[in-house]
Amino acid sequence: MSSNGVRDGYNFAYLDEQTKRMIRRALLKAVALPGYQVPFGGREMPMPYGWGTGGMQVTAAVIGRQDVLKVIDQGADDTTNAVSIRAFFRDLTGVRTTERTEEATLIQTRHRIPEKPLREDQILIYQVPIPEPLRFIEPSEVETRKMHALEDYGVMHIKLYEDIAHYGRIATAYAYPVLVNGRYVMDPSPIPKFDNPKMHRSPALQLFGAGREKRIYAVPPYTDVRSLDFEDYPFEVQRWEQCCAICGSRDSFLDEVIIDDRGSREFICSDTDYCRSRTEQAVDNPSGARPGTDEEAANAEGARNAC
Amino acid sequence: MSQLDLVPGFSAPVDAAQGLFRQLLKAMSEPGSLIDTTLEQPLERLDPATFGVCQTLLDQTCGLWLSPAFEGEAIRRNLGFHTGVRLVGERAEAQFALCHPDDLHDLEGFGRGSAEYPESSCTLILQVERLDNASAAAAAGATTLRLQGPGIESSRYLVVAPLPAVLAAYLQQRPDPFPLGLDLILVAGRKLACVPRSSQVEVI
Repeated sequence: MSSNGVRDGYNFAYLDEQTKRMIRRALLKAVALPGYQVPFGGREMPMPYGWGTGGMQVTAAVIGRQDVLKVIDQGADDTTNAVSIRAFFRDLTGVRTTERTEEATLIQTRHRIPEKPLREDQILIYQVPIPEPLRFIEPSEVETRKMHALEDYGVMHIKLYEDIAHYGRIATAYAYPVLVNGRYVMDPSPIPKFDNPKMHRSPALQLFGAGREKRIYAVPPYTDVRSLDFEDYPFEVQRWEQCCAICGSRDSFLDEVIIDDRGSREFICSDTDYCRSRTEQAVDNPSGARPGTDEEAANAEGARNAC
Repeated sequence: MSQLDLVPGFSAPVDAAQGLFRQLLKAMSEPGSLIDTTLEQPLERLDPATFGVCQTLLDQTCGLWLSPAFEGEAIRRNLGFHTGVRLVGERAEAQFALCHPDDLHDLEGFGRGSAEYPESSCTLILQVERLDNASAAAAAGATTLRLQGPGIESSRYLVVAPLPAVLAAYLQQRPDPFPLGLDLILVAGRKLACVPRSSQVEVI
């Protein structure tokens, strides 16, 4: 380890400066063209495609010594992907890392948007497996590029209509397509559609990196992001009858967890930081209801019994 | 110039380029917001912020078109030394154009991108005399812009002095329909602001 906190023999944040400049130029074009996928010369990273190489390259191009980095995988700070990417950047930049959403200036995420509302000057960086929302319908890149150029997005509605014809409702639950700034249809990455409304006019900057497909795209702050739907089948998000077994939240995205070999199950918050901060507040303030939640969730133990 | 008169570039290139890029990213994603780069090293007629933007964004893979006002041995050789950028004579070949307001009589030739590849358009770096927030009283020769669109909660005001008439008309009329268009980085002294093609602009 050298004196500035970066592992010996490596440049700050792993990538060489020329690569960072190339990514930075692509990022500036991406924010000027909200929702449009800018091709970039994606590099090999010291991990396989599919583990977040796109998000890591974007993070490496924007991160500086003043930043505080948070990394989440499916909402959790303590899963393999999040732990190893956080360790990577701690090792190669020496920046401070955190698990607290409100402390972070950069948040790299795989498949979730934090429950706590983001603020201005925070940057959310998504890891994207397949950036092209039209790809499942049209395998040719030449064709999908032309479809974006001509705003030929009718097939996206057909896909949603087929859901309705088969299941009686729009069954697409994640990677739910959105229209950005009234122009480009964009894949929000495989976030649950529960998170789609958080993208709309978010005060934070949202950057997307797809390493294998070598695309970067962006949604600037306060930009319209509409989930595609129909007048008679409006967009709606998932709801649960259960509440979180740990913190009692009824507003957050819940993961179903099998807890024994007899099929018993519990639901817990997917956002570990949100869940922990609610539990901490309940410990600090056991009698009173927490701000922003209903009175049912009076404290962690009470909430657990209520579920 | 017999000897190569080099001016110093960034003293800590990795951190300085990262810091200025983050300011550019904020400026481009929040159009019209005025950023103080705190840079101090000019390059002859290039202001500190202009020289900094060049060092941050340009390298040997880019083509740069230079305004006649910035033509000269010192600027050429220093940009070449610090960035390795290729200077191009044709506007159409330029990914970036370093412009002086007096030289912008027309915007002919600068790439607008194509419908399939809108990102291939030219980014204009325009060095003006003064950039201000709307609060500053508009002096003679200054143009006040009202911006709306992505990155702006309701609207934002930016005072540019001087803004070439042809550019003011371009920004208002947007003759190339989105997603085609020119992205604009405005620089003055230590300050910078951006007007990407996604912004709707009104001259007040």
